[in-house]
Amino acid sequence: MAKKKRRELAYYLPEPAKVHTVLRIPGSHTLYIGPLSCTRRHMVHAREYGDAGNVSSLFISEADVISGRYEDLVAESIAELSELINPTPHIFFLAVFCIDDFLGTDEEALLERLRSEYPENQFAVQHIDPVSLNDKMNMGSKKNATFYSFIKPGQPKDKGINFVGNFVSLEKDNDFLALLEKWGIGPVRELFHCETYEDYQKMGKSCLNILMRKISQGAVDLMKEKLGIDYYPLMPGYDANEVARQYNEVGRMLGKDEIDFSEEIKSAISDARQTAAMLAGLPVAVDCSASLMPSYLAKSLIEYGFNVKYVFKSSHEFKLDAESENYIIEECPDVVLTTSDSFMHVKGLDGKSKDTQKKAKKECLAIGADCSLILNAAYFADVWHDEGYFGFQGIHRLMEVIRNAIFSKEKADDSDAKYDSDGKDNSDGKDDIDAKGV
Amino acid sequence: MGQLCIYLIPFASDFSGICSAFYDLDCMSAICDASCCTSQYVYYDEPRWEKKVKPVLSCSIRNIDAVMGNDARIVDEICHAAEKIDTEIISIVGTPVPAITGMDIEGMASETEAVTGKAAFGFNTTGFSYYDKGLILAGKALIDRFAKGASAGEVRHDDGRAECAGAGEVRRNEKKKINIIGMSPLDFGDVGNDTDFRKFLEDNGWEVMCNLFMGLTTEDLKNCAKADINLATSAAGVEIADYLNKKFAMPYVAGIPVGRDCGRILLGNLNDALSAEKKQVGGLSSECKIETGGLGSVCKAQAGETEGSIARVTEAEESVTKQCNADKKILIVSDQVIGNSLRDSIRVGKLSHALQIDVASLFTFKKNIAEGGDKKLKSEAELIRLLRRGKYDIVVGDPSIKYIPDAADVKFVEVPHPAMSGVMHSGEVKRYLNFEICDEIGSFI
Repeated sequence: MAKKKRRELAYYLPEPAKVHTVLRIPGSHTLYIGPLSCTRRHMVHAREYGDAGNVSSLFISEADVISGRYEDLVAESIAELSELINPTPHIFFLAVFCIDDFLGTDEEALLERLRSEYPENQFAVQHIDPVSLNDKMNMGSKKNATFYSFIKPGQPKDKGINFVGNFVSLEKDNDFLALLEKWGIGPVRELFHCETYEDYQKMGKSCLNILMRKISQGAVDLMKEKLGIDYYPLMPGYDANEVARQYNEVGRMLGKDEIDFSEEIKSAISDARQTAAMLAGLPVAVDCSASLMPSYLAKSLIEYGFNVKYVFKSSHEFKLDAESENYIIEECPDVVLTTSDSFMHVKGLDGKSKDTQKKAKKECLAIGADCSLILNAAYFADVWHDEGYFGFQGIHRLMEVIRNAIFSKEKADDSDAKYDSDGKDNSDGKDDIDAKGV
Repeated sequence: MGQLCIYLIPFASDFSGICSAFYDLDCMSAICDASCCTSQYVYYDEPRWEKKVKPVLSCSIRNIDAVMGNDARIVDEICHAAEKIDTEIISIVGTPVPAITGMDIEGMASETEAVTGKAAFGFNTTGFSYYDKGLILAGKALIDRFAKGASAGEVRHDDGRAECAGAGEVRRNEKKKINIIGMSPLDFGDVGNDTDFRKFLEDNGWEVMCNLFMGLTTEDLKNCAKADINLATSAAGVEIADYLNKKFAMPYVAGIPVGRDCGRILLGNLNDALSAEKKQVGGLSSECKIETGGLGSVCKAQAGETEGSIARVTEAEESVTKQCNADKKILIVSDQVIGNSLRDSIRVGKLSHALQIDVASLFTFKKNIAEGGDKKLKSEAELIRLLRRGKYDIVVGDPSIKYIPDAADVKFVEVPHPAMSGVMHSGEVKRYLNFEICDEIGSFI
């Protein structure tokens, strides 16, 4: 029998301080139900990001779990919340955790009971159960879909368009927004910009959904089935030709004529190639904190002439960019393809007083905080989950942030700078990169 | 019983307490979870995480592992990681899923130790209990494993000489030795309280043998039983100090220096404890256990409710009688020992008003260091009831308590408690040695 490949433990890296967007249907309330260790981070998160008034937690004991009494506790909690919260929420989300997967909760019976006791409210269960990762529909997608499950069919349909799955809006001067305006399509509707429950319901009137992140695949499928709103997957990418092709696909779905994007393509490619030339072969690392499809990003950069040496992909098996990953494996054998949470990268990162393994700064450009930390990279381009990088503008912006990372005067250790501010290579030609691993 | 929490954040759990206790050791911590519990600990509970990254691993349990009881996979991966990361110690903790499915974490640790040859600790934590339980479990386990004690009545010198004498009387020309027990960033943050307390003691003639749990090393643990006395800095610390008392007949004082005046009194308590008449030479027993936290718990000692305890008579007697005629009521919601010490500091400040000061704790609560009005709280609902009925003028506690509507009309002194509000306010935790709480209280009355 073939020996099963050992799956590795996941090592946690410090998370960079980023502002998180809270996805919240206006007029909804989330009750987190579970052990206190599970509910705590959500309550802290809500408090940090101004959502504290819309969440509460019911933390259950082992006795509650064993006796099965916790289902009654949910009903009692809803009763208490209905009295306390004014006005009463339109929607109650019941968020349950990993242990619920093992408890055999009759979800439908619970929801039926609540709906009959509180007919003016709506209820949905959200599962926050990473223990079920690797299933076809992962936890994040399931939870995300519930946010859109309360949209009712809106008539008449208008020329609005929903952006689904993103957590930040596109820049105001983004080329895709300009294109939509040119086509007479609008308004753009995003869940996190809905201020009222009525705004949220207007999403049901839109003519098309743009799927901006795979996490919302379930949501767009649901809206297609329930509301008749079709969708197009238009996720951040850095291949200029692919951006143009996708824009025209969207146009086709909207009944618009094909547009010639050759000038935009040429400009983006030229910018990228010039930036690659300026790096003069400096090794580049990308990771899944920078882009949700790091292999796709890496492939695009390789095609522009960047010397990509490392790709740190996610250990979650979503395979969003499987094709690009296969390309790298087959065509770029020198590229190290690994996961950012592998414990192999821990060596030298701990704070042991006897530690002599602290890594010297690696002469490379890290696109993403994780690989910057793991490699102790000399240059760091702060890109987070492709946010702010979309379309042709995204390619130009990425190149700008790469150039700034190399030539910025704020780089920590100027004495080790390989490049001076004019872009001249000051190195002695030594390459300390170990292509086999970190 | 389940608890609805609307205003407060659910508190740090037992496995976070364990991981926090082991953090400063040369230790790899493996958390048996799917991933969320690990992220909970590192991103929301551990204030030291950003400055000092340590090997904290998630076992990435999936449904199939739990259902099939695939402990062997987890042990194999931990051993593999231990080989690569090469720490002195391994700790493995449980979370709700392993608790529900009956995973034997202690057994897994034994296997890990057998394979790796490294000291491996396993804790059947559940994620249903609070962090202080984890601190207590960790403290006892580390003491059992590493602390080498003198036998009762015998003092061991470093050169191997054994001497029978009472602690504190032997080494006339040597510094008195002390352990700081129960100090965790979940109570004290990572703002320098550990170094402050250590320096304070060292500047006043003490040698700090061991700080359980900040700046801890295994060498410190091995020497901790050589200390003359323990300073329990939290309620969990009192439990651990109790344990040290039973195991090595070590006396302890419960309290922290809040402000310089209170610090001086605490030093006096420590010195008094060492020179206590009831302390026996050889066969040190529980009579040496000192249960005064400071000024506040003097009344119990004087009434003889605590056998063998030492009373330190100061202005405390006068302060206590003022309670009956209090015109201002203060509620301190905190770890009990920290709360007692905050109370002591307020009393030492000699504010002009007669004050009734109650300490309420949502965590470990020891009756022997509590006063009459002090309360053990079991839930947010009980805290709300206390605020409503108690009609307090001033509340001292974690900023998250301000979200309770019944706390809206009272004056509030923020004393962040990371085990309550997590990393949100952990950078604002008070440096207690220089915290003159009287100034803040005085400005309100």
